[in-house]
Amino acid sequence: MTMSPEEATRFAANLDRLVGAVEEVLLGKNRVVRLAFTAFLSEGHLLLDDVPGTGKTSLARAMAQSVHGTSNRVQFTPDLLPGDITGVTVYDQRSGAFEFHPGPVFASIVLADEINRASPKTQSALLEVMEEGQVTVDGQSHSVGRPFMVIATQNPVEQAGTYRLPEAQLDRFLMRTSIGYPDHASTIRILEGADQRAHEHRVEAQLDAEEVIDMAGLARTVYVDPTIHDYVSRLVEATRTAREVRLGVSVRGALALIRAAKTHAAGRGRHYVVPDDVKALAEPVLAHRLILDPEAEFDGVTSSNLIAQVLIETPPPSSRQAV
Amino acid sequence: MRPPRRPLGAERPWPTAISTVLVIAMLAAAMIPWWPVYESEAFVVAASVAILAGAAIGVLGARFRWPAWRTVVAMFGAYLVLGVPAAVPGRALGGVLPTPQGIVELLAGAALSWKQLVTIAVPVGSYQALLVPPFLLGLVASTVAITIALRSRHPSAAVVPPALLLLAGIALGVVHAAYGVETGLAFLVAAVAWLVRVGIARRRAITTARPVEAALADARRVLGASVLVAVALVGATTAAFALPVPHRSVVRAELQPPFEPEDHESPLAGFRSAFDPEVADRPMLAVDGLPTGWGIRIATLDTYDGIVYSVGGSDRTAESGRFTRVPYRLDQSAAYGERVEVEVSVLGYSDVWVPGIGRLERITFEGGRAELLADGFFYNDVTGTGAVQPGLENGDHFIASSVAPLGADDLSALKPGTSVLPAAPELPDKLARLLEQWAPASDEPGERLAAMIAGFKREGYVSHGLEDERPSRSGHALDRLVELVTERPMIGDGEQYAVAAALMARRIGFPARVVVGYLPDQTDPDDETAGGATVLVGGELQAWIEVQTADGRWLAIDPNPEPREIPEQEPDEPTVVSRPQSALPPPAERTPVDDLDADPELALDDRDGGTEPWLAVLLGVLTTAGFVILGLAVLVSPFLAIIAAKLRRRRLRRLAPTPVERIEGGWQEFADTAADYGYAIRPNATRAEQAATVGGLGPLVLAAVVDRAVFAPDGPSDGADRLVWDSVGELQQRLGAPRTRWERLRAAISLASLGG
Repeated sequence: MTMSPEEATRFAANLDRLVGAVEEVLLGKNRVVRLAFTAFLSEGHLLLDDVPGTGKTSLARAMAQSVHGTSNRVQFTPDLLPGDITGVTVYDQRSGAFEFHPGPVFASIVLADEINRASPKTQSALLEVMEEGQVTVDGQSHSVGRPFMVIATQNPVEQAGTYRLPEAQLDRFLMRTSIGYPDHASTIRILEGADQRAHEHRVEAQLDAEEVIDMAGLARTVYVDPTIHDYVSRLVEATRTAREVRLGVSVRGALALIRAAKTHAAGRGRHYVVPDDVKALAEPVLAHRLILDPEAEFDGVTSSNLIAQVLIETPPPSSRQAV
Repeated sequence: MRPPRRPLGAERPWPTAISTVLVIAMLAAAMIPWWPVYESEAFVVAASVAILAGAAIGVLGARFRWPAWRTVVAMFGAYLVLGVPAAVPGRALGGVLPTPQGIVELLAGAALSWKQLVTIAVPVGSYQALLVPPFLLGLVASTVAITIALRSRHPSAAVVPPALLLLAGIALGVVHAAYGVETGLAFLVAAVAWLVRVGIARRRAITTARPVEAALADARRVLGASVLVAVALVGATTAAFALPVPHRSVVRAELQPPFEPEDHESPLAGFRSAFDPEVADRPMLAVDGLPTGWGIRIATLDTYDGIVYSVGGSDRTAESGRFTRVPYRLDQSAAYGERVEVEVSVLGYSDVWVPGIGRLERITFEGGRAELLADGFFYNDVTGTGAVQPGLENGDHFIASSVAPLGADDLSALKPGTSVLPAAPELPDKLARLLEQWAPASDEPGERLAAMIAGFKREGYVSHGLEDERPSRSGHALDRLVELVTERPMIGDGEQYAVAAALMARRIGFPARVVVGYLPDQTDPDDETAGGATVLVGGELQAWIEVQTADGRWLAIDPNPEPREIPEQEPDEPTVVSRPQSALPPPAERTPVDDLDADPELALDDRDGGTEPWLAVLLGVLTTAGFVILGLAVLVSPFLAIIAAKLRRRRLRRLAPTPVERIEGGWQEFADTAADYGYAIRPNATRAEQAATVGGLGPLVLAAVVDRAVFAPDGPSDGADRLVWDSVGELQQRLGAPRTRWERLRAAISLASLGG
């Protein structure tokens, strides 16, 4: 079953409402907000490469409020333990039984701030929940519920005392992007409202959790023409054969791109994916999955540049019979 | 990102067949320059066998992936097995089976036939092993070309072997550019067809375009190639008519043939010795088949230095001095006259010059020395003079077929020809005055020629200066000629009369030369032998002249007076005996002496100058206008071809079989128009990106509509294709509206959307 044009129109309208609501908090960041919701509705997770003070917490909180959900913020530090995130089992003397105390991961949107400051052991505690939506403590699995999304951040400037995210962890983030500093006009608008603290600004809920889950299900039904599959396949193959790349995009990356492109298309009111959807999401979905050759990195090649080059050199499909 | 080049391969029969046929077409075109060298069916057989055998080896090698050594062995085997029946057919048993001697000649021919080929007169037919060069080159070129075509990663390089074969044919071919334009165009067409084929095959190997676009791209290649060929055709045809034919340098022209006429004494120098009583009655030749009243030529002399009339130019550059070997026949299809076959038996005659009639077509030596004489026979087709290197001697026998010109009934009607002969000294005043006296300059050239001949016959008397004859000095230097015309009565013999008449004829304007030969005495009953052959004795040696007329024929004219009693010497002006008074004039600009291709009528018209002035002006204007129009057509044709290609492309897109393809084609049409107007439409951009490049809402909406038709599961709605094309037309108009007419024209002929 595929999405109908009417459903696509309704999907786009709902997404516009969500984005508009969050944009009231995160001024001038329409693209990032839309990307974040694309990841959210694709049931993926978002990695933000950002310096402090760009509105990451505000984004997470606003997104959670907009869908009538909860949000938690975890500040990752070197001494953070896995149990501090997932929760612990405590013996209740009154009941004489072990009782599970959920950690901060039990929320609709979890902000894992400066995730690269925690030890790999703690980072990997997120693997299960990001992949399966549940945590297992003392042999007991506990679902974190739906909708669920991890927004992790890492500081691209300050590298001292950090642990680089392992590739397996990186691959589990649907997208990587950055909020960045606001433009001049947005900065002025922020300054004009400086008397109100950011966390005091409450976003009105646009949808409830059930509706968000429905939207996510609907996004999966967007039609993808075989030529688009072929296009994505050629893109990822190109990343694997590029001279500057040591490790190209995995099949999981290709699946992620298709998944995100579907949501992107629905967000544009279309019930089918076009090559522009793929192109728009290729950089945020694929770039963080590449491992560049050290020499190429030394020469100043970045993952984003390489994806841009691949997009230029790989012709998009223009007709249905091309495969 | 570019896919690696792949060889065309030989796995699939149809593509292999197409490739093979196209390469064979190139090879066949490359064989055309060889044809004038042979002009024989044997050449066609040899060339065909070589090309087909090479092609078969190439195809088999590609099909079964033979290593290089196996291909070379196969080629050598084909050379040995097929070489004898194809290239040395005379040595093949039953025309098919190679004989040991044939194989020896075949192998030797691979090394020795090249020089022989360029020092022999053409056409050579299947003479000896002279078919070996084209056979060998054809076999190698065919094998290599097909191998490259089917196995190389650069199949377009298959053009190279046929091109080398073509160049070899030109280099080893004839001097005149036979079939030059036809050969060039045939090879161009075949080569372009092959390159187009390679391009199409390569594009099909790497592209993922759908059939309509692929067919469009193929059509574009074919159209482009057709335009190229058409322009080449028009250009070559125009150039062939408008430009002068440059001198063509070939190996044959640069090689000095082994026979040098300068090494042998002029037959006219020893003219008088033939009338010595001891040899005058000696039988020299027995000629069977000599038409009544005809003479048999010993040699034709066209070079005069004021002292001796000789064969060939004194500076060794004249065509008349260039003797080449004759294989088995000469092509005289363009010669005027009737075919005559004479059978000559040599009796007392002993010299290098071979007696003959007219222009030789075929000569067959017989007898014990037949092979020696055949190998040593040389011929100059310009003068019709033959020579045999060891010289003829008693007992030699040969049969000669020739084309002999008919005599002229009325000399006064003749018009001079256009050939240029080696320079001769100025006509001495005495001879010039006598010529003026007999034939005033105001008369027509033909009338003057007839009057000059009549003058010699009327006033001349024959004496060979023998003991019982009136004194007559031998020689034909200018002083002797002056003596001839100043003495009264005029006494001399063929030596003087022929030279004087030739010089006077040249003064009149006729290209003229002297012929030395035997002229049978019709009144002598002893000339006829029992077998019907005419026996020619030493005393029947004679000299006469040949003049060229406007139709290119060389007519024999005998200026010698009839032998008759010589009257007593009249007291006249004191005889002036002097050496030539004038220095030799600078040599005239040389052109091929016997230019039979020259249009005699045109020459006649030019000399007459009888065209009406207004008609000449009109013709000139029309000719100029024609060339201007032709030139403009050539200039404009590429632009018209571009416009035609775009119209064809639009039609193909609009009439594509499915609505989706028509809709896609509509977008392509719009994008191409934008590209032609200068927008940087990237081929790897999506439709939305291309629309953004153009700007405006219209292109974006159109891109979205087309994307929906292409990528949505439900496809386009009914009539969507028509709406798209309407929209495309509207957007195209919007693109052109703000531009000037010149900018629109420039966009119409822009190559941007054609990949230019």
